[in-house]
Amino acid sequence: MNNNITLLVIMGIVVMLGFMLSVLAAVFLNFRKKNQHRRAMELLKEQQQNQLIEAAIRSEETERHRISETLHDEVGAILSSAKLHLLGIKQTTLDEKDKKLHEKGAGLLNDVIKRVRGISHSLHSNILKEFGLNEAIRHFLQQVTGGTLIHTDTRLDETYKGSTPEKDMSLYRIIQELINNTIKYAGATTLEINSSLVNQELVVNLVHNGNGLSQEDFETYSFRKEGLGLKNIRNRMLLLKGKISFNKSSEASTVRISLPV
Amino acid sequence: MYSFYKTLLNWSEVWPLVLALTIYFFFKQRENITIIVWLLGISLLLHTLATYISLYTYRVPEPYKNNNILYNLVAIIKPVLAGLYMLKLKQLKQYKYLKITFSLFIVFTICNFLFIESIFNFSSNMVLAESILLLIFTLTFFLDAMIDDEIPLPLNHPAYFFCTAIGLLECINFFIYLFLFPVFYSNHEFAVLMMNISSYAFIIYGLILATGLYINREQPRFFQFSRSI
Repeated sequence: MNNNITLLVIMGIVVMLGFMLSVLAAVFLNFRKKNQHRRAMELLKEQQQNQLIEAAIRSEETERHRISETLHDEVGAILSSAKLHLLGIKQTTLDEKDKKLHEKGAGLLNDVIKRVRGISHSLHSNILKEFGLNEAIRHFLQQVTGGTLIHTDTRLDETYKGSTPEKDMSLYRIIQELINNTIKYAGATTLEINSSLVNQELVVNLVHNGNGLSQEDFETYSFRKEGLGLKNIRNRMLLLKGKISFNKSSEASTVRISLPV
Repeated sequence: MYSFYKTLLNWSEVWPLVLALTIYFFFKQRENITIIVWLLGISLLLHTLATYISLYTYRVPEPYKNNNILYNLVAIIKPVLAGLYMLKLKQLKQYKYLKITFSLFIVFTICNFLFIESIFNFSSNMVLAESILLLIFTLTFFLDAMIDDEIPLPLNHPAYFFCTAIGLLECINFFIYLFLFPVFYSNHEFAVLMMNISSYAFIIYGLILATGLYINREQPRFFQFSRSI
């Protein structure tokens, strides 16, 4: 009788404990499985998101090319033709007032042709394809700040020979957007762009003395409807798997881009 | 060394709770665990008194020598507070049978001490009812965590530690207290061994709770760690 009870107690404890430990093990394994599944889903979602961003960026690039070609081949050709016609007018038949108007018109037409060509080149990014990122940055900077009061300086790492065309294009667009923003909103008088390539990581710094964005501003504006440029920057950075950080102080504002190449 | 081990075992229902409450005292907690802390506090008080009475019976005045009432109080308070904590968890709110079981336990407790057993005698009925109630609650909690497609609570949530601790304690104690009196009268040595096993189970219970509280910590209450880079 005694032995029976003792055995029963021992068996009871062992069975109950075994059951509870099995339940705990099952819960743990189940959690691991769910976590793996969730991670796989997150990865898939991230991949889908990246594909969407990539598609959006690609279509944006295609559209830029189309507009650029239209501007260059059609609008540019019409403007050149208009210039030819204008120059075809004999100035000797014009009185003083009409001569001045003719000169003014020709000047304006020249200006428009230059600007259209500039926009067309900026959209098409031929320089990027032919001469690489560093040259494209220098050219763009000269183009947009030429004739303004902004003093610019570039110190770009020449050992960087370019990554994939898509990556370079995205980085170039980001830098373009940041330069445009600096000119439009920061009220800067100096702008320096430097880059360095260390351990397969390209770091680009944009430093200016204007009123730039802080990291918090960037996070806020890039999620707003009107912050399209910043949203594009965020999307492109996501695609490049890089990091962008904004730093603002009383002396200078810095944007630091780092990405694996 | 042996006396230290003996002291640890004698006070096994006290020091693991002190350890858990010390962690709570020093660290703010991420999740709300007020009920668990009340349970730990009350259990600590009752177990300390009960252990003191059993170890130093000769020092205690005659009317207070009986510590059975304290163990009966633990057998009431533990399932009530543990049940309330688990019923408050979002994932267990949907199970109506838990509320019914909880209500039945309250009714049983009242009836047991009014009509069946005296609160001054050790009530194995109450300990068994406690074990059954808590095992139903903890198993429901774990099974729900498994059948839910999503992860209802992160694995470091204190509820998992609490349910693991309670589940292990009760599944060991269930058979020990079910046959405590028959074994005690027929095989005293084995009864002592069973009580020792129960003590080990309580130590594991306290240590798991302490781990849960440590993992659930947010920041120290009274001091800040400085971290240099």
